[in-house]
Amino acid sequence: MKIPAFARRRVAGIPLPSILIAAAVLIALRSVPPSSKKPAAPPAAAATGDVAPSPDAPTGSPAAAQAVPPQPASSDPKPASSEARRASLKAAIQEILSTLQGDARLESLSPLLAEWVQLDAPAAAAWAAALPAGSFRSDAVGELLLHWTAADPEKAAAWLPGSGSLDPESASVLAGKWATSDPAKAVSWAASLSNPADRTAARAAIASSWAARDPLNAAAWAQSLDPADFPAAATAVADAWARSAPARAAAWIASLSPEPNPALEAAAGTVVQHWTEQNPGAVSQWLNAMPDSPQKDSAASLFALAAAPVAPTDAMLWASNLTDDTLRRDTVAGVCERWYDAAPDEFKAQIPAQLDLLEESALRHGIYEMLYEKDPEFRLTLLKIADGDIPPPGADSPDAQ
Amino acid sequence: MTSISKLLPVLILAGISAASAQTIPTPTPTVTDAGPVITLTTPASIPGGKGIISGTAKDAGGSTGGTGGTTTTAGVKEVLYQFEGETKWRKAKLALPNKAETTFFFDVKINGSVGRRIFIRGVDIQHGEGDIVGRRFRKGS
Repeated sequence: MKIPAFARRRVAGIPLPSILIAAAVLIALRSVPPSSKKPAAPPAAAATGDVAPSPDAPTGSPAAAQAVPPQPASSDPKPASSEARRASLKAAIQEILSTLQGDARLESLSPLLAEWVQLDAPAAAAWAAALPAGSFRSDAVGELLLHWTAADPEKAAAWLPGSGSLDPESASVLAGKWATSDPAKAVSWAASLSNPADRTAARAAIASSWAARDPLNAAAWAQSLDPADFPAAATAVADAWARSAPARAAAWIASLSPEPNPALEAAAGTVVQHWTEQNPGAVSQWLNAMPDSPQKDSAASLFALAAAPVAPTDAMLWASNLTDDTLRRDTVAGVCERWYDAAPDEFKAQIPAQLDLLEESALRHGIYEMLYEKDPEFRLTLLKIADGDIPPPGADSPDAQ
Repeated sequence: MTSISKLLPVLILAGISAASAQTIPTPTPTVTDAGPVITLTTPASIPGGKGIISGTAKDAGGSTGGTGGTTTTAGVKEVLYQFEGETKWRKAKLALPNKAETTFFFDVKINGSVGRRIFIRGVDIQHGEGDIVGRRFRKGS
């Protein structure tokens, strides 16, 4: 299908059709007074059956959305207005589903789901759970849970396990959001999950949210978890803690295990990443103090990659001295790629001297392979420099004398 | 009328002949390799939208079928990730390349109100590919 030019335009990063649809939806919704502002229904209304459907009624299917046209605003009681708003929302959602794709669809859907959750969360949840299995259902359930958990976490938590939509992704969304307001209840809910993968994901999300506000208690809780859930929770604590106090996060990770612990590689890695952005010199000292081990190699590799854009020659030194052959080759190539991306002219001027320091041909090949995609012309130049056919940049040329 | 008892030897001989004419199928060695299993450990919400996505990749190795089938060496060769809507698969960094279990990392920047969905898959040293795991990562506060 050819997309018209106007539809490809974006305003502030949001596709124009998304904005138009959202505007139409807002106009439609504003024409219906919010149910909360309406007077309570008189007793006579119930007698005539003019009542709102039960929140548990199956009103959430897309078919139902099409079957119920938007109702005009009236001076009638609250239930009719509520039903009209619900119908308007569902019609708008159907419109979005039929016209948009990908992130634009989810961006447009999110405010409508927020509105629907306020109005009738169980119906919104039933609709999301009834979507065909796949990425979009996960997206819709995730958005729903973010809004529902913010408004009423206990009801959202009670709904998810029996909804057919519980998986590590949805468990992570709900638990992480809940832990921002009440970590203790989120912890209790996560413990009730029977599937180990769901439980691990929920606990990691709790650790992340909790550690952002209270790293010491989050760290203590993570250490109390069983070995299956501990590494993911520890990594999440380390990630959150390292953003504000990387040295303390590094000290905590080091205190967890006197011997190198493969289960904590990710935790150490995330600390190195954040710390390098804040103080690369401190990370370099910390790495120098570590005993040689695969974990040190892993941390040094991450440090080299993170330091490449700001301190490329130091990064090359760390990368070329890694112990593991494959890691050394991949890291050297990765450092060069990040260096090239950050400062291509500086890279071209300085890499010939770096080649002289790389005794292994495999390391040089990694750089040539990287340049094969990025800059084939300079690759040929670099090969000629390496073979001595032409002098490196800055070298005194006999012809110039 | 020919009785069945007289025909029976003929039928049996015909059956034997037909059976001997068939090619007895030889078990073809098949390689079963499910590829690495990816488990994501990074929560779905990334503070500030910038951080590391990490997880574990576990490879059980493969097995060759038939009599005397053998188990091939386990090892995670690479973990690849892709942003939804893109075609390029990028390589994640492995903490312990070619080992049966390794942690993987890659750094991301997540923008936009609904974040981005990222797909991840592993490839083992026998070139076996694991299932693709997807998760939407949102920018958290």
